[in-house]
Amino acid sequence: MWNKISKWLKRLLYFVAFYALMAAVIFAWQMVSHRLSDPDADLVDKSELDTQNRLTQNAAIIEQVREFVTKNRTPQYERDAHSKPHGCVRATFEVFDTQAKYNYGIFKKAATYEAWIRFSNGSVPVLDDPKKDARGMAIKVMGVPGEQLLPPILSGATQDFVMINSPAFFIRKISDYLDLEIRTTQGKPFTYFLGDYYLNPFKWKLRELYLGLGTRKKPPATPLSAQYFSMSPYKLGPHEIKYSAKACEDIQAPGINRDDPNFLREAMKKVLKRQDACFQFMVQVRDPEARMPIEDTTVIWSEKKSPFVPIARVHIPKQEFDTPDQNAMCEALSFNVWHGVKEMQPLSHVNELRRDLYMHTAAYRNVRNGVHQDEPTSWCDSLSKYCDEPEPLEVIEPIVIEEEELGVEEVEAEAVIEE
Amino acid sequence: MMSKIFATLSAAVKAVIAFVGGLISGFFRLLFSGIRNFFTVKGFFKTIAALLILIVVGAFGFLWYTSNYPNIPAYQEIAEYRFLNPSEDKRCVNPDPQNPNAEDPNNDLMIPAYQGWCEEERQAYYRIPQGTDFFGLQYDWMTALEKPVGKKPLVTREYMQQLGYVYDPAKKPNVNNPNDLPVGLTWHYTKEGDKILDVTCSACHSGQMTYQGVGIVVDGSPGGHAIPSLDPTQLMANSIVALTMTYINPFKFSRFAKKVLKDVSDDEYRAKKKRLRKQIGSTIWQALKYARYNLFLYPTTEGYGRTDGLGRIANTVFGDYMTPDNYKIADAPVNYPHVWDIWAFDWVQWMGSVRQAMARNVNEAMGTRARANFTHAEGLYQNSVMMSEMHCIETTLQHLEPPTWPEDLFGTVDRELAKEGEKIFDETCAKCHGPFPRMAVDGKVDYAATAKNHSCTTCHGPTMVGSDGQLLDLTNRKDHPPVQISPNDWLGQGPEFANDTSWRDQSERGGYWEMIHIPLDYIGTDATSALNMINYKYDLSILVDNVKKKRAEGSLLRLPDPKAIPDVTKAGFAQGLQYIGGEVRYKQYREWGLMGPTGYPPPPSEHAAAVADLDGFGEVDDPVAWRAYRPRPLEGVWTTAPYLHNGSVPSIYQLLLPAEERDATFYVGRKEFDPQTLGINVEKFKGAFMFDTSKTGNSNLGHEFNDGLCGDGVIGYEIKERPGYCRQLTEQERLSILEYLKIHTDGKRPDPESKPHCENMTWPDKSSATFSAADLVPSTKKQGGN
Repeated sequence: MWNKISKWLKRLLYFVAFYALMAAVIFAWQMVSHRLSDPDADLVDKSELDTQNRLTQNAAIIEQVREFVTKNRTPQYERDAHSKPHGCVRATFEVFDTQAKYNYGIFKKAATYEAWIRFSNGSVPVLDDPKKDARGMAIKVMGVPGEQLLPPILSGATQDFVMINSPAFFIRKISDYLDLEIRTTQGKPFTYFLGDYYLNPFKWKLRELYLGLGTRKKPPATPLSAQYFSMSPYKLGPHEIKYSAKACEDIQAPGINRDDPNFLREAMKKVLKRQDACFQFMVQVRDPEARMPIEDTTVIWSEKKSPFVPIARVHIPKQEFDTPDQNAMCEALSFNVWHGVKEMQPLSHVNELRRDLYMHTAAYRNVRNGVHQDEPTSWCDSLSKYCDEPEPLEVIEPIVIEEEELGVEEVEAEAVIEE
Repeated sequence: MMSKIFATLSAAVKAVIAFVGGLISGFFRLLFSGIRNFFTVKGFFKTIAALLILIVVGAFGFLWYTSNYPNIPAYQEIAEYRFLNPSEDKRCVNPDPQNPNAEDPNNDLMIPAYQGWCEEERQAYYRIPQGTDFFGLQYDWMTALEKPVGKKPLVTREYMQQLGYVYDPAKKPNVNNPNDLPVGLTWHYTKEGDKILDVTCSACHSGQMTYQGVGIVVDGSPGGHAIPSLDPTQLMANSIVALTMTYINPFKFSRFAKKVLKDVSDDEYRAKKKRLRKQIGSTIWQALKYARYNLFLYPTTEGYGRTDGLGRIANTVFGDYMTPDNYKIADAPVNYPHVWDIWAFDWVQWMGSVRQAMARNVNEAMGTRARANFTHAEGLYQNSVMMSEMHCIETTLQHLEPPTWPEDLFGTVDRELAKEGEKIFDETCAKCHGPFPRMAVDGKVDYAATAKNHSCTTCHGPTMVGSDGQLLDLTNRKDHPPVQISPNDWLGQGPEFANDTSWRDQSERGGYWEMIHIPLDYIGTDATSALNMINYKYDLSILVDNVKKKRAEGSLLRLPDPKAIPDVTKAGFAQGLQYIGGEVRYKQYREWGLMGPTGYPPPPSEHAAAVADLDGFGEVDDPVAWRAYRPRPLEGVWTTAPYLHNGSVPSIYQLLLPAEERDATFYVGRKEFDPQTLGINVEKFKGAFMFDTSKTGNSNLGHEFNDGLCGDGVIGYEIKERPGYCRQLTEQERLSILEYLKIHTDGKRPDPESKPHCENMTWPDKSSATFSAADLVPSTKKQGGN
């Protein structure tokens, strides 16, 4: 009897070992083959047909997301991603007086703008803060001059920056995005990575699984103490860039119970009650010679080849943000990378999808929830209580980075390009 | 005595059991001994023999089953027929008066016209052929055929009505319909004098609904059958199977021949019977050849009331008639459109891809298997398309009026509610559905009306998305498809149009109602049909080589216009059909003496008016393939369920809902009207076809009234204080729109100003047949055969 059981157990063990070995080999193969290939080669549209199929898929994704949002209503219609906010804080976006190279769009000249920042957890349905998750930071800079990307009916004078705390996305193709979206709505997102019954190795997308799991990170001490990345590329005048916001200091929030399901909000409340916070806003210019693809957002642009250069600062003044009216206003806002000026047009098919997807989902949410939020022009425009604040916006002298400091980086960067 | 009978009976039963058992055990012995010794010659043949027996018995059992218990909708008897939209005056002669006493003031010698038609026009529409030919099936065969198994006739009223075909309400055969076949099934003659079964326009474009046992005749409304289906319980496949059984079974064939050749004299009988047998064989062979290539081309089952029109036209004309390389998957079935107003449109087809009536009709006829020769130079372009007959049908349709709501049958219309609906209709629906009259009073184009009717957002939605899915760049008007917005202002008039006046010409002659194109990215309905048409490319080189051969011999036949077809091996669907259909059309015009010495449209001549009339208001055939669908005016639309071009929404009520609240699956195969939802009853029933909206080509998304940003399938209802944003309709608003659609009219209908142009029609004169089956056989082969 026991013999029989142990014989079968052994077989099971061999079976598992075989699959584990296969998984390891396939994973290694997928990582290496992707590293060795031209990442954009299979992603750019080669014909009119490709473009049309992609557009059809975009429309299907929007429809799928609408269904997902309807399914996950609480009973409010929430965002299809990043639906759990940690709070919406007032901030000023201070553009440095930088080199001419960066002087496009909002970075044309040194200036200070009012902004809203929304911090969030990525997963839907929402997870408790202590669990592994992607954390988001979305900045809406208001009163930005310049011609907007969206038609007037949909745009204000804002420049949105949308980031999460990972430098790379885990989906390469629009068709994959649609597949994942369908499976997520069905409630079985893992079948996207491993195939319907997990056992067919030809359906495994282990590299994407690895990257996807990589975006789920342990929570930072506070939302104000992490680095956030745009993942997808944007134009900056003639350049292509990715951007990132990095906390100026590693702010800790002592006395916060890290097991509290909402501790990130509590931590941020505690920190902002006693001190200001700040982020460095940086851009990374694409080097066309290096392995810095536009379409494949799963590839991290090498910081060695082209480092992130700080060209602005996000200043978050001491404040109390966790009020019902501010939370409600923030929920109605739509952060969309296409809220912005033409000189900073989003690139890549993923961003092209995000335009319609975010516009439609936000409008769907708002109309269903019976709220109406135009693109705000200032703090005062969003909430009247900030209108009669006694002291006017403190105009901070633009910080001029010492020429040498920037210069060194520039020279290095250029040297790399020449190499 | 009893016991004796019992004993005899039981002996008989035993004998039968023993016999059957012997057969079965004999079969298995044959099979097993064959398999055991499979590798010996004897064993091999034994196995083959056993398998053959199995196949034959299985096939026979299957046919017996489908002959007697087909899985098709149940028969529904129609006790009474109703016509709609009676005219105010009694202007028509009653073909079947009940009280013919002229003295009696209550006589019914004269009756009103229904939907603008008297019996004469109705009969013309029902029976005038267009030249189609399904594998050589003949008119008289249809009624002579027996079911594949058994002696019962195949084509009966009951069976045909079950399949969704409709019958002439006159209920009895007449000269146009001697064999009592459904509406649209008629005949034409070949040169050999054969009476070919002709499936004409009305087969698919004339329908009837049922409502509590009453048959409601809606001439010009979509048909409800599945004529292209290769399902063996459906008409075409079943006929071929029955014909095959007739061919195989000599007794069946004798009975068949007796019926078909009933008028043949005895001394001719043998020869005729032999010829008949040969013809049947040829028909079966053609059908098999067709099935071989076409069986897997239509992965999305069309079901009742649909066909992938464009896809089937392409596969027939470019595939069957040219080269198998041109077969393409056609997975975008569309509804049969209703036709009481199409003659007034300047663009027809669901995509708004074709302008000229005759071009569309010629291509449609070839797509419905009118014969044509493109594959050999001799007799190039010989075809069986009957253009004068089609012109008669087309002009007869100009007098057909839309149906009106019969209040005594479906209940009175709540005028108050309808008024509310009218308001919403005018501000939302009419923006796209129009109609937009093109002709102003004195025959000139009224651009003021055009400009008033359309703004950029009419087609692109409040968010202004272009047909490429990109937000519109308003400065780049040269990329816009050519659309005239005022006398001297064109969208999309790049330098390439400087010397090309065709667009200008046609817009000034134009149809009566201006149709617009709504880009896919705004309307959001199933894209497959449009994309197939745009993306598929066809190889015309066989035809072009033949044309070159003819030209070398001095013929003036045209080669394809290199501007439209730069590479003859990769012609677009629209351009390819424009070329082929144009050649077929001009060949006929030449034969009628309407063309100049070049054989093509000359500069204005004495025949220009005649050609313009045949073409249809002088429209130029200049097709387009845009990522768009065309909305159409909505009078009488309540009779045309299911809705959207692909028939994916069962009622107008559901069409006004957000897409996720529409039926994901529903059942079609009967047309029981539902006056509450302005749709058809789509509950499950035996023999129904399940419409699954998740299949390719069947999407029920788009044209929704939903919350959120307008666009991407959400077309309304735009929130007034928030331009660009839409919301759902309230239940009250939906009901009011439904109420209004019952009585909606498109305003004054354009006046066709003439009687139907049927003077040149020769049907059913036998001697005028122009096409011979021999035209399709290359002469070399013909000689070889002799």
